[in-house]
Amino acid sequence: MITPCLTHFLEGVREHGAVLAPIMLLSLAVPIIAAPFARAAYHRLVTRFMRFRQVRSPPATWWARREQRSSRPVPAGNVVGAATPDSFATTMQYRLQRIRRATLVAYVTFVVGTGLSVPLHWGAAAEFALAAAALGIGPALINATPRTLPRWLPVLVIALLALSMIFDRFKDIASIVFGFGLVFAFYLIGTNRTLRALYVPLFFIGFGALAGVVAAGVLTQGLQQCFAPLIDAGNTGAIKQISDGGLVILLIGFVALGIWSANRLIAGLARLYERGWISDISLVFLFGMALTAALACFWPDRDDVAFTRMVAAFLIWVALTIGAYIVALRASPWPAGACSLLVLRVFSPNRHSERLLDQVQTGWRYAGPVLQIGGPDLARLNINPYEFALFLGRRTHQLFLPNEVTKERLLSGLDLAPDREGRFRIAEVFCFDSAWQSTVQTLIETSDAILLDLRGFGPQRAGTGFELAQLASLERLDRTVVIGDTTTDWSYFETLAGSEAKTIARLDAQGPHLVDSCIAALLQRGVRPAHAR
Amino acid sequence: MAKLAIYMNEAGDSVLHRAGFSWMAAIFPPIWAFQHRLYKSCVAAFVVGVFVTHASALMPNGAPWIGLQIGWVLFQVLGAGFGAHLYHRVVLERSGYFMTSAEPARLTGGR
Repeated sequence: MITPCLTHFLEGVREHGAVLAPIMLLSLAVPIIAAPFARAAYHRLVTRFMRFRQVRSPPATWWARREQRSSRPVPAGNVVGAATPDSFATTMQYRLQRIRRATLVAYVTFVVGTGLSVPLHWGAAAEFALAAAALGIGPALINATPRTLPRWLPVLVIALLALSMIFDRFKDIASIVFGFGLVFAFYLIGTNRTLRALYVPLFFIGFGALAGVVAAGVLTQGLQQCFAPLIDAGNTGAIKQISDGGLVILLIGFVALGIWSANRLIAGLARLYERGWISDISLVFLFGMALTAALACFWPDRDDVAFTRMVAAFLIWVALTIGAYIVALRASPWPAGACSLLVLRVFSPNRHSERLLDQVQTGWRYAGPVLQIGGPDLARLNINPYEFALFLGRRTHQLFLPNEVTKERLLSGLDLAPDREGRFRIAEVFCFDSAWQSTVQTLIETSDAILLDLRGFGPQRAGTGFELAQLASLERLDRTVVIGDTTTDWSYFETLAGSEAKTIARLDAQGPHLVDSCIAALLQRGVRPAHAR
Repeated sequence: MAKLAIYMNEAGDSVLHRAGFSWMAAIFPPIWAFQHRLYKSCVAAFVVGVFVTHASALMPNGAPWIGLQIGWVLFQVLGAGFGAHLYHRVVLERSGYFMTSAEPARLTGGR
């Protein structure tokens, strides 16, 4: 009886092996549907935590664990002893170029690696190389130009996909539309910071759940065929009832197992992020490459391809791409030096303000860590893979500082080191209501440059007023760049800033090239020779 | 809306606790227990659920019995929904956890 049973199972597995690629495609849609809800739920929860009050101090072991989690080596503050703002701007540009070069090398390796999938299909190698070149552009550009969409990109993708039409496989217009949609959907998601961190984890959850349904289906089919003689011979009513109940439990169990496995995988990725092995940007880049490779390898034209061969082709292809990226990064040294930026702002949801802060922060990641107090306005924008993994694991509260802490303890819990690619992190400090004021003081004392967005500022904004008063009392206004517009109450600002108000660098939010002039002004204020600090 | 609080123990573990009604516990008690890492309670809830379902299927048909069945289901759903978080708090406190921070509404309005 066992041998026929096993035969049924193996047949089922073989029949359903081909559904792997369609499951992947379906799973791509899961994050698009689920991300807005997940983002809203995260925002709601984080906002609630911000109102928390401490009633009892956490035990010392909790603090020790917190410090242990984020213990990555941090380069000394602004160690560029004799750096001028201009030379530091060149360093920033070099760091970006270094990542761009590595991305290009990885992309070329990925296109060449297409050769590994050719034996799995009918057709010429050129058509696969062209299609891979088109599909890989989106993910590669996320890593290379995270701030703006290059104008030539749509033209190039259409040209590559149109070229691939000369082959039999892609002669229908639907393939072009599908490929174009895939490239741009991925690019738009990857460059959107509110979606980027959510996309990969939600994809894995969708994939785990769908794979669980298919696995339960295969097992059910096998079991039904195994027990068919028993069901036929016995009291069919009772046995059928038991078997139906068992199938439902099996289905729920497998879906739960799939989601649990996805959660483990997400936790693993979060650990890699936490340790600086990947960044929120390169995660999406490498995921996009791996997904394209998976679709090519697990969707073979030929029927006689063994599953192990598909897996081997996929693994070698992905390993080559990642390996090329790492080797290219290591080939050029990372120039030392960091200039930390503290972002203070009025906590009000404002699209213009959010866009500006997003672009300044994205650009500043090549200069040094970006520090800010987590607020309801930017919680959605700054969500990163680690924070989202904690949210999925119902451990978001671990991100929050419950009470006043010493400077050393605060800094030891912050992610100030660059990741292995050379980008610094955006370190959001989440505090309970009972802890934010002392945290702001410490951050002001330790930051090299400070950006103060005062759009919508007035006497009613007591929190921002407190921050401004601290800047004045700690004598940090000389490091501060202020952005304001017609909604800013400048007379109130001058009252709080005192005699130094006239000397502060002010930028008009309506001015041209605001992002670039803001970064330049911050470098002027933040970068100074070591002896002058 | 459920009120939140954070519980910690001396080993440095922390748990988020909600007070109020739980829809998950009302509809799928075993899954609620599993989510909160109450594994023994999860198995117990599953066994009790199966037993109660089969026991209620043994009841004879007829108007009074149907009323009893509906009443029983309502009792079960409301009991699990309202009692789950209370039960969670008791388990936490017995395991050495204590509240370290909470939403202001929870602090002023009691637990």
